[in-house]
Amino acid sequence: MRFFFIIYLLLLSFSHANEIDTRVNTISKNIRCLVCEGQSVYESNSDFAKDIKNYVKKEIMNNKSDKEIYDFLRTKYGESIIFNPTPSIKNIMLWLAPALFFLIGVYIIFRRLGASR
Amino acid sequence: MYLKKGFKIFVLLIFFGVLFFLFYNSLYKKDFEPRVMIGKQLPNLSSKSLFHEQNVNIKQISNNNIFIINIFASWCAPCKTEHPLLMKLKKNKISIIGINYKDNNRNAKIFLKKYGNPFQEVLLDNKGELSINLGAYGVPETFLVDKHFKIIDKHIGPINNKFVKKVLNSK
Amino acid sequence: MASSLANIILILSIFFSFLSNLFFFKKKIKLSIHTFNWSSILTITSFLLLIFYFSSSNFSISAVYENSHTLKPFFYKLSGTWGNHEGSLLLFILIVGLYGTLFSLFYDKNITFKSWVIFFQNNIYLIFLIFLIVKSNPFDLIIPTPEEGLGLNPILQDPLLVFHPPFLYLGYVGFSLTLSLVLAALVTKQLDSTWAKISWPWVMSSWVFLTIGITLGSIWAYYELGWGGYWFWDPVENASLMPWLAGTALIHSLLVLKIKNKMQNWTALLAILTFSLSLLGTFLVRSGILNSVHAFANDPDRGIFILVIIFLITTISLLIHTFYSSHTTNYKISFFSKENFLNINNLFLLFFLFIILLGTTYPIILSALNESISIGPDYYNTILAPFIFIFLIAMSIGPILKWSQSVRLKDTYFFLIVFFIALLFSFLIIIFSKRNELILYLGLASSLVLILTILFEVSKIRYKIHFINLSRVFSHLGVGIFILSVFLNSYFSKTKDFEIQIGEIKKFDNVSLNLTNQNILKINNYLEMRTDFEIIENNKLFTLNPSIRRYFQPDQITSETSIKPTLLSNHYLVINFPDLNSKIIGARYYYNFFIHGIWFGLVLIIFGGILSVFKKRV
Repeated sequence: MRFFFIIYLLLLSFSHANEIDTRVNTISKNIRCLVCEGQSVYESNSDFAKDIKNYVKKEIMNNKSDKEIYDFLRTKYGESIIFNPTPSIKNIMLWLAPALFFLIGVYIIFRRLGASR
Repeated sequence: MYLKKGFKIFVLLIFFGVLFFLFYNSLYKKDFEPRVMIGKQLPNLSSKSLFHEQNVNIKQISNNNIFIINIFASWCAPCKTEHPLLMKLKKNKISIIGINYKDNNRNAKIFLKKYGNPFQEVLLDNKGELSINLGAYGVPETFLVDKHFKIIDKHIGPINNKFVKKVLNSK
Repeated sequence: MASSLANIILILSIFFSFLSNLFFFKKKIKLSIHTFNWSSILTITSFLLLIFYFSSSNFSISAVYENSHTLKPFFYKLSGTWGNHEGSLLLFILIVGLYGTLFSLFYDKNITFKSWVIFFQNNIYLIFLIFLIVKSNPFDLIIPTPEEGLGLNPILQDPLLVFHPPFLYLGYVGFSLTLSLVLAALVTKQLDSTWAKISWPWVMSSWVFLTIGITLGSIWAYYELGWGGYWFWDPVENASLMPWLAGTALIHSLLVLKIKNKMQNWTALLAILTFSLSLLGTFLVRSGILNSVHAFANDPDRGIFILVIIFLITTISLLIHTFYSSHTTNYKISFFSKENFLNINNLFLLFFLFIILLGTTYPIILSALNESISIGPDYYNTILAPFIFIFLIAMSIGPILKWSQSVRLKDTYFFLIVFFIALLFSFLIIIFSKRNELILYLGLASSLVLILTILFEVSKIRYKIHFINLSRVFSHLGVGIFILSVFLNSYFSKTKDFEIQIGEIKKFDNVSLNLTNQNILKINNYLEMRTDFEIIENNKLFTLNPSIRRYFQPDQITSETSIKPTLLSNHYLVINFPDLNSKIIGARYYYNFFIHGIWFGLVLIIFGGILSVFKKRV
């Protein structure tokens, strides 16, 4: 009986380990490797990238949320370490401009519509 | 009709002029360096010492004056280049705390024996956590901290005479 | 001594180019065309000379010294000619000249129009040639002659990467001729459907070459970089995608101009946009303004020059467009007409272009204001996805519609039937695979709608094959298969990071990996640590051999992936740089599902384009 219980715990820990790894990967893909040419920490093998990945894994095991991890890294390295800027006044153009563009485009197309000859 | 065309041309030139100006300026911007930590309080860095088995907290080593934190490793070539300057700072009675980044204890001790030991104390950073806490991303990196534990400046790469001068002037 | 010959040739080349302008202003049209062609031939000669210097390792020539090495294999010595800034710039100029010369050989109808085309082409050519000689001359002499060169990045020593730049250039540099054709048409007031028919093969071939170039780059990234992916929204990748999107919009707009003689001014504008984006890409990649694994060596001074060139060419073109554009007639079209859907096509393509342009240049613009942010794949994927679905549906409907009329009832029924079949199919896939993501469903559904619409359409017109636009069928089918594969690959692939020692076996799902061997070999100009892995999947056994190479000149470490293709997927294995002391190897295993579909889709797109270059009728 004890044997099966141990196996069960082992399997549970493997699937849990799997989840943690997946989460480490997802988060690492969003962190920029600062000593590489624009790669993410997930893709890079540099010391810096390895350190960050270890740090992320440790924080996940301490039950920190994604946001807490990103925020911490931002306070240490600045906004540009995270891919995808947080919406702020500076960055509002990144979402406003496309919206405007599309709406203007739709208007231009609409102007041409009507009964043809 | 000419007014309309003239207006278009005017808008065009202004638009491109602005773009040109922005791109031109960004061409000469320095390569990105994270300087977010400057002006902030030094985080609580604690780790085992290279010299003895005890845990050391960096804030315990107060000396009521500015001090330097230097991230180094025995395998790092530029660290050897800057080492004489660190020794010079030590001679000028500047307190230097070392952070030994991902190194082998024995190699680190041999390195210090061979090139001189400028460090009042050395904290071990085998996982790179202390470096991350400092907002560093490579080796060597050096931080200038004031007596209230506020980070005043940092230098990425081997330090130079200019940095040494700045440190001595801030004493 | 040797490089003096090349420099003389270049000076002569510039001389003839200036002469061409002079003759043009003096209305000696035939001479202006001839002198341009002589200049073009001289540039080609100088490039051949550069190839010769590279292949014979003549280190007195600066470009050869800085980018080559005696230990490099001969094939890569050759291709090293264009694997550097100066050499590739010479190739760039060569292609501008070549397109002009080819046009002058193939076109003979209207001599005034022809002379204007050559005039504009010549000046684009000239401005870059001056830049080369003044700021980026590959033939600068190095005295005394060095014994050995500075070597070349080992990552560039790859067959795919040898062909990637030439194809890219034949692509986006080819749009220089498109621009010249447009400007000439504006100035001679001949921007009509006849002009569209003349320009069609030139625009189409540029587009085809660009598509091939981007595809090669993507395949290279997949096999070489070891990240399991084929597109990373890297700024340099984006720099080639932007002119491609504009070029695709241009082709569709050109279609309207060709068949209905409408949208002249808009088409002209798109042509200017396309080449301007080509130039912007050139600037981004060479000026040092971008952080990327792909970027050439940084040099802000070069950047200034190119920036000035871009602004000159773009602003002058737009000024010409503003002055010479004709009055637009006021016509209306119905919503379900082909013209409207081609307009919608333009809207979406330009929207995608705008997003990518914004994402790529925003960090640059912010850095000028002393801020810095990073933009990664998430931004692009999030914003683009919903619009791609709608775009694919519109792409399915458009070809069924008629020009200038509303859609016929039976076509509507046809489409709705296909639409529901596709929805059903996608639903079945979702159930079968036990996934529940909405985006996956929408992606599958919209690409299936496109694929099925085309297949049904083709099967209906079995007997009247000459009525279908075969090139459109292939290219659009390619797009559908491509997008379908992208979604399948994105959602059904798996990755696993692990550490392993010799003799150990790791198991993931139904795959087991066993590290059987590890040894170090010395080859040519590198040291290789090769590993042997035995993989068992569903009782089938095969081996993978990922390795790590340490090059000597320059000192660099690369990781070589090992890939095993199966029917539906790829097993893809990379090892990480191990700690030299430990026996433990870090590795990453990818199960890349349906990656073949991605390549197949791209090949179909290219094939459709090639068909279109040579078609005789509309």
